[in-house]
Amino acid sequence: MYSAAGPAGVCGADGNWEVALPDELDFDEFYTAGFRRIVGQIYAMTGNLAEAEDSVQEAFARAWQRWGEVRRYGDPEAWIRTVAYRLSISAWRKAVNRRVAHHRAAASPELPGLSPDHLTLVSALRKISPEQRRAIVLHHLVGLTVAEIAGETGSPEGTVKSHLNRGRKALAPLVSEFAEVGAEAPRRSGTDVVGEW
Amino acid sequence: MPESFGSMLEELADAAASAVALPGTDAIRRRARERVVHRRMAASALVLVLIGGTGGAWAAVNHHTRTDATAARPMDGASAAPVPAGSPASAAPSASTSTSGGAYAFTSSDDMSIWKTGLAQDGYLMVFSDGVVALSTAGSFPLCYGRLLAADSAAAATPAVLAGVPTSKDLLTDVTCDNFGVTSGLSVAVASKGTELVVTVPSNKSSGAYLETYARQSLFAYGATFPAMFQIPSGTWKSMDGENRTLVVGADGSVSFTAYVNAGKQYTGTGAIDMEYPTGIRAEIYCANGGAKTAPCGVFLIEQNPQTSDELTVYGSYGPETFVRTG
Repeated sequence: MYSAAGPAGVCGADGNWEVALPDELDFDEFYTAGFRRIVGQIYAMTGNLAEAEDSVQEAFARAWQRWGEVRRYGDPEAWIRTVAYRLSISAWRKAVNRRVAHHRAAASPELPGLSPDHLTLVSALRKISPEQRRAIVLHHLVGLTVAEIAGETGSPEGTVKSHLNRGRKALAPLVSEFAEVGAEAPRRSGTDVVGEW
Repeated sequence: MPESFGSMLEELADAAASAVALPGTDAIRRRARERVVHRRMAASALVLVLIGGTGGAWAAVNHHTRTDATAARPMDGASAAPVPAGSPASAAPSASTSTSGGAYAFTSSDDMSIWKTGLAQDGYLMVFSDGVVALSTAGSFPLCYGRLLAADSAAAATPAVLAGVPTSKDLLTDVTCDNFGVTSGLSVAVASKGTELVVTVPSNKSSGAYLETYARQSLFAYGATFPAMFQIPSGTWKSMDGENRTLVVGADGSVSFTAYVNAGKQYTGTGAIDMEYPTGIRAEIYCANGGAKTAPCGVFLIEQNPQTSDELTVYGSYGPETFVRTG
């Protein structure tokens, strides 16, 4: 009666809860197509590649456990990205992973071989808050609209706009594309820089 | 930077993506299976702690001072002894008024469902993925505690829950709701193609057997709807109904309550936050008033969104209620 792993169940004709057959090929295709892309997105949001990789793996494992349900969502990839992001910023999870990383002497979260421009970008991203970074990544990398970001983050659209605007202003001194935005307001101090970046 | 910001960001993300290996889908499925094993082990550990910990519970409550090395873990807290009736909630061991919260060893669980009676007065039934059931009844605080066991394997204490929903027909045991008049012999069945739960209450001294029907309100999946809570909302919180009910949440996950209900009669209890759910955190409570003190008697579901808010949404009675920070 109790199925612990695999896709979510469905209600049978008699109203009883039944376990649906897994559509492994469907999941495999979704996973293969999206894993690396989402890791890149979470890395851009958090700045820790090892954490991004692990949290995306965990998110896919959770998706597999209820694949019958997740696959019916309008955008399963957004579900994975949301779960992975929340996992990656979990304080408890970070504490556990740091302890594990200490024992296995994990590599630095920095990406090797970055160009000077990329290093500048990394430096710039470190100067904004996690919420601003998430909004900026979702908008400029994932290509979501403000309304879509609001839906994914669970924030009002006004808050998303604020995060985008403030993030751009903070990045303006380092990103010429945002210079015009940054000229509208004084530079942001670095005192509120938190998170992995 | 000469290139556009979007292009640079994309290149950075691509560099990260190409720096990681793509684990096989078998590895992902194996990880999913391991999660289940861990959750089952945690549930088994909880049972052991509840059985083994009750003997020393009274001794523990007399030794409030804890060193860092022996700081209470969530499961330990769950088996803490009840506060004797009349004791102020603020006397709860290890309670803290810290407002900062902190990292905490939640056992993260995935699914829960909320069901509601069709009666004029709200009544909720929550089903958690480890088989714990919380029921709201008139005048009760906190939510009544119960457990679902698969009807064909009750002795094995198998949680009869699949994706937050009970399986076809299960036993509802260890119920502490006084208004049911019984604590065992109840059962839960899924009806109307999964949109309803029917609780069968056997006859007892005060009434004949009857059915209670609950309609499904929400089925929460991790990360799908609500942001997960990962910080303890430590502090003192009071209800907005004349502050008749107080919750004290310690930074170590301990929870105590004081409630004046039933014509001003004081009720108290202590417990611990033991699970993180998509819609909040769950605390299992050992009540000091009435009933057995060696087993959980109540459940709170606590939400704090955003996590810096000075308001909590607490499921402890009829439905969600707002508690405000007072310390």
